[in-house]
Amino acid sequence: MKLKSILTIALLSIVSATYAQEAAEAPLQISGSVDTYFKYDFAKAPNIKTYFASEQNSVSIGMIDLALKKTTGKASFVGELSFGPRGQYQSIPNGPDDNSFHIQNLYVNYAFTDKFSMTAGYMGTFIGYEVISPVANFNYSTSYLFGAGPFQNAGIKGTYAFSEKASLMVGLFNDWNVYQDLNGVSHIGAQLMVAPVEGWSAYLNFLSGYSAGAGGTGTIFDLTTAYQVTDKFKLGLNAADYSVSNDNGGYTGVALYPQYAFTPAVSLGLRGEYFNYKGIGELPDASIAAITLSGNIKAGGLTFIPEVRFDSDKDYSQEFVKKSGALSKSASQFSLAAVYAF
Amino acid sequence: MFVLSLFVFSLSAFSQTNVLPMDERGKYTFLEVAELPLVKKEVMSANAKRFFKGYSKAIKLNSSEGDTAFYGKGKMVLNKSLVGVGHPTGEAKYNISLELRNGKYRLILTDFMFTPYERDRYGNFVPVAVSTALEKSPGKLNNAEWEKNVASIARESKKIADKLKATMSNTIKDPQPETKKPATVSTTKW
Repeated sequence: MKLKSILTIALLSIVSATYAQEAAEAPLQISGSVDTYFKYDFAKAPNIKTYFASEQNSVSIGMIDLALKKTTGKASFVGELSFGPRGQYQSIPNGPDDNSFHIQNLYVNYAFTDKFSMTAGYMGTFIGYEVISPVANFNYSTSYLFGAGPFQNAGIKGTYAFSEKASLMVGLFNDWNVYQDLNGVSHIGAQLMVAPVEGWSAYLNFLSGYSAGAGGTGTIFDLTTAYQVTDKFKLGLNAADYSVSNDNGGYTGVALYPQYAFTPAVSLGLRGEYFNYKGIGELPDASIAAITLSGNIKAGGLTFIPEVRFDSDKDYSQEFVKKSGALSKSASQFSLAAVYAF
Repeated sequence: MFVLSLFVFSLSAFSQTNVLPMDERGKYTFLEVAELPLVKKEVMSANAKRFFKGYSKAIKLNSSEGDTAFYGKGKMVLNKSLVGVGHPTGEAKYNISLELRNGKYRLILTDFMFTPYERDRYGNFVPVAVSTALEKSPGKLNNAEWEKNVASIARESKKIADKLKATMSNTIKDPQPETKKPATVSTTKW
């Protein structure tokens, strides 16, 4: 009798709770990902130094990523934490005592109108095609452009949407990838978004400022665009130029991302990249070319990413080595990654 | 016995909200005919207009035939949630038609096009560029996700239908919105 009463009350409670939750608006959003990979360099050395598939002949971990979002009326916040080498070691800074804050995104947003909103805090960068989260990249290893550009930009920005096809963001930002700007809020940035036709979006990005301890003012121009040409074929492009004044170097690069979906679950994508480090002072430029072929095989929340990659480094800037240990102009690797998004 | 009955009832209610039948064209369709014998024709028409006004962000009317038929396009956001916590997984666009007759109406939601959401660099969920008709085979690998989407569309359609029914059941032509005043207490008499 007692058990029956308890079960009845429990069942009614669940029904009531479900009803109350359905009636509530904008529940707390929780999302994230987990990633792990195996990478094998054919020269048996960790030659290719771009991000996130860096450990040779090892079943290694990326990160567990947890994002929270809550919207109340016109106000919202996003807090995104990451734990693991992809987060703590490779994509976010530590605090002054070398403790990790684990923060990928931590910002608040207020939508003053349907067209105008302001955001303040620590945000994933608006520059570039590839991102830190493995869920939003097609390839598992990253481009040289991704590694050279900013990862996060803390600051305050306003975004105005002229229409669904055009918007402008302008903001003041800290130095790249820092929680605290030691020389004051020193960068200005802007992003113009246009979506001329359905399936095509283009972002023209600009960021300029003087970072603490830098030899000059760094300015980056970046174009990131993607066009879904057909239901099966998508073409992406990223082109960027970064210069530090007083002949303090920088980089130029372009990457093309053709991708073909054989079925909704199986896709193949290529990344072809040319990247050039600008020489500092009298030093010459150094260029690299890389080609990466990746598959995406999706089953529910899980994506397998088998990948082969060939890099050519004619100027020996990457210090690739052969099996013998001698310097090499090229490197190649295979990797297999598994990414689960929830 | 009571617990068992309640559980069976809950399951029955759940399964009803997750079924989306196909129409003669082979399109997944949500259809509801409701009889409202006490509502006058002109009131029913005013109710329908008030319903679409209330849903103006999610449903855009394309055309109407007098005051007896309304046709438009709508969009519903689908959520993956467990105990009130989750995130949007995609959106479904659809055609909506509402036809009025003496003492009854017919609601049809059909031609569902599903667009999955992906998480952007700022932790927000945004639609991808490719939309797929709900009738298109999802393949073995994504069948479970597809079934969840169909169930979610069925649930959201039922919510729209319930909201419509509540609005259409009104029997007054120009109902005044209820002004909610806070409850009062007397501090002088006690």
